Amino acid sequence: MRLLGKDSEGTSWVLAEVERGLLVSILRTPHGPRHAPRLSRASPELQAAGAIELADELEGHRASTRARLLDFLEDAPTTGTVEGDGPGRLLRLAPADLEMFLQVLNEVRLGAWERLGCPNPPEPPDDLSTEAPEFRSWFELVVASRIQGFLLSAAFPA
Amino acid sequence: MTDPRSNAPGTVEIQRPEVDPDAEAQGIRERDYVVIAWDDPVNLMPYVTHVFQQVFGWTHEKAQRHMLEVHEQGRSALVRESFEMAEHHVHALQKYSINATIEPGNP
Repeated sequence: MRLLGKDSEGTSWVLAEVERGLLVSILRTPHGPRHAPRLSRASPELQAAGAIELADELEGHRASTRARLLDFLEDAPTTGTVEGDGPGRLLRLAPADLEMFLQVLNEVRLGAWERLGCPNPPEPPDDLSTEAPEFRSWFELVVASRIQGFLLSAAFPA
Repeated sequence: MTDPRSNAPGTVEIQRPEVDPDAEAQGIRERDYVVIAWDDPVNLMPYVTHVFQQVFGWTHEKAQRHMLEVHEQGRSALVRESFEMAEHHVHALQKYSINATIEPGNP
């Protein structure tokens, strides 16, 4: 994944075909709903006062942003080459789309982390086997983390 | 012609509105909810900084200061505002998967 350029209208990257395939793969994996958020930890009364069921709203938001990003990735035009990886895909994201991308990647990370039992720290064991049932979740967590970190450092340098 | 409500020509008596002290206190209480962000082991630190910038329009420095407070102390009080605004900000943070809640400012 290589940063091509950035201007006021958006940021452009070239994704290797294998990177695009990885992203599409983890985004297509069906995921169950994540834990329901709480409005307040301090007061049951305050939680009741909110009287808003956040869970459904958030699940709808997650599903729609994931679907939009999949559309983006599947329609990304082919361009040039990515060093060592052959032809690449141009990924141009407007600021709002980049936000969506970051949210979706975070959703993938958190979903995988919850399925793994919320390990702390969230790092795979050294002896993790590719045959292990939890391998897929670790794979999603690591891939999404790497891409999210790359996007943040490239698009929003400190 | 003089104002019939005045006691003398050229002066107007303005009646001071009655202020209910409870209502005045209510105005303060309405802004007295705090949005708290909580630490978690999984969200990346640059991501949390970025989200604070997006949701509150903060500078990178201010957002990073609060992110570090969350990381080092387990929580950070982000803003103090009305219940409705606090609720709005908690929803926005939770859309980014940041663990945030509302607390009364003066329980």
